[in-house]
Amino acid sequence: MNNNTEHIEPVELLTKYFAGETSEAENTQLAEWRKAMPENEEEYIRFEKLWNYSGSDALKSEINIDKEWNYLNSKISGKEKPVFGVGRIIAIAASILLIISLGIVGIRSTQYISQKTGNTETAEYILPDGSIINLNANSKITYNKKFGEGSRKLKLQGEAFFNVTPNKEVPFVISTRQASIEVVGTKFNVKAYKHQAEVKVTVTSGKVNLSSRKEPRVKTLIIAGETGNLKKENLSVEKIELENINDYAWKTLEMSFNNADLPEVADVLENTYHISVQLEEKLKNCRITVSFENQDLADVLKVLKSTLGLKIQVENNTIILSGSGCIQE
Amino acid sequence: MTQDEHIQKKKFEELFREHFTGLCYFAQKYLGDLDSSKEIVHSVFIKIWESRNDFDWEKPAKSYLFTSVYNRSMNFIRDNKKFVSSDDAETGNLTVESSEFTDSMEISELEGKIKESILKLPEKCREIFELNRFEGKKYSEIAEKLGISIKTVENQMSKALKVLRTDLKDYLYIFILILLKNKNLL
Repeated sequence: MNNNTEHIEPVELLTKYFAGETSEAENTQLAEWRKAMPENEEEYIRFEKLWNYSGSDALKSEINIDKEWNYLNSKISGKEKPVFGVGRIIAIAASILLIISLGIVGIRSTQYISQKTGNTETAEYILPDGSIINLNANSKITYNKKFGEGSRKLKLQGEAFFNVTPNKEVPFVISTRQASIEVVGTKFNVKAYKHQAEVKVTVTSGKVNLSSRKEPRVKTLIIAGETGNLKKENLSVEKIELENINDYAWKTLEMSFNNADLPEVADVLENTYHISVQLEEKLKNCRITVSFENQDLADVLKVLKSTLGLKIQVENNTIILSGSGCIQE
Repeated sequence: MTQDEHIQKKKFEELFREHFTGLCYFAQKYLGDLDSSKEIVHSVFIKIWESRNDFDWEKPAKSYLFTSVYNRSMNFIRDNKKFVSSDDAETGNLTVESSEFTDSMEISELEGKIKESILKLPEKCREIFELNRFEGKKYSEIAEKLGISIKTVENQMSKALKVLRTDLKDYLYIFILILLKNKNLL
């Protein structure tokens, strides 16, 4: 399917239209959009179906799949054939083993709490001490159930923005595979995805201590406005003074590009909107100076499109940028 | 449980989670009653589990499941005469190969997937969506009830639709095919 970028935008309009909340002017706008391309009309039909079926009476019936599975599971488990003789003894022995191992698993799973996000979602969690964590896509935090009682330790995989409740008595410590970050009370972002060569800590307010887990005593102080990069290769910490707001745009939706090349812009867009961006080779020297505040992807793409004369295609979760390239200035 | 039984159980659970909701909505179309529908769908899965060693776990099971649920629903209607008076009773003469049957199956599956997708929406988003879709509340009424702006209702509604549209991409495609086919029939 050869979708055009026009496909992203009308969701608001279509939703409003089917809900019967559009104005006359919006109705006209929608009618024009439908006529513009056959793909638009197809999208309209899909949406209409989606709208109709998502409101169908059947869906008022609540079905809790976990509950239903437990019910079925209890029914089929009760129907196992009875075991006699030696088999029975083994069965008893096995069930004792099972109870023992379940016990261990049980204890383990009750001690730790994990929260994780999928490919295209972000989530906000409030920890027992009131600290707020925004998890970016594909990320996970794990902490002890007793978090806050004497210590505030958690493990992070992936990327998260932290707004830590100040408490000088109980330091807040984040461990990633390589790095350890000690906090007093502050706001900052930690980016520690497995596939990246460095762990990036960007501090918005307050200060944190960054150290490698191998040498926990060598701490580097990162203050507001700074980014600390812990290179995985040699575990050295490098400080960059200028904060790069694009690093946590996925949470704030604020992006700023100053004569940035398109590959960099593409990276930021991927991280911010959980999509993937493909660039034509000849676009790689295109540069742009622009900033965005709280705009959705469609608007951002529109700006890129008109500024750099790009062609934009959308396929599933991938944005394909093409065009005639840019003249070196 | 042996390793093989364990794998079998896992596959069984996957099959159940994949189809249960859609099958219930399907049965509900004929029976008009969710509890009986659930019972019938459970009975089909119990049957599969009891004959698990003869069951072909590699073969797509969708048609088999829907056909079984359909047949059991018809038997249920026959055994409980009071259902015959319901409006849908005449659907009882559908043949399983007919295109009406296939369409009804696809639509039920789609409804099941939509429901699962709705259940996964963030709490607030879902509440707004359900107030609009299931209780017929206008945006302004929802805004007033929840103490939020109309703009927020609008945003949350389109957010919900965006999620559904993404989650159901594959199923909506199938639907377009049905639609085109029906157009040709006319």
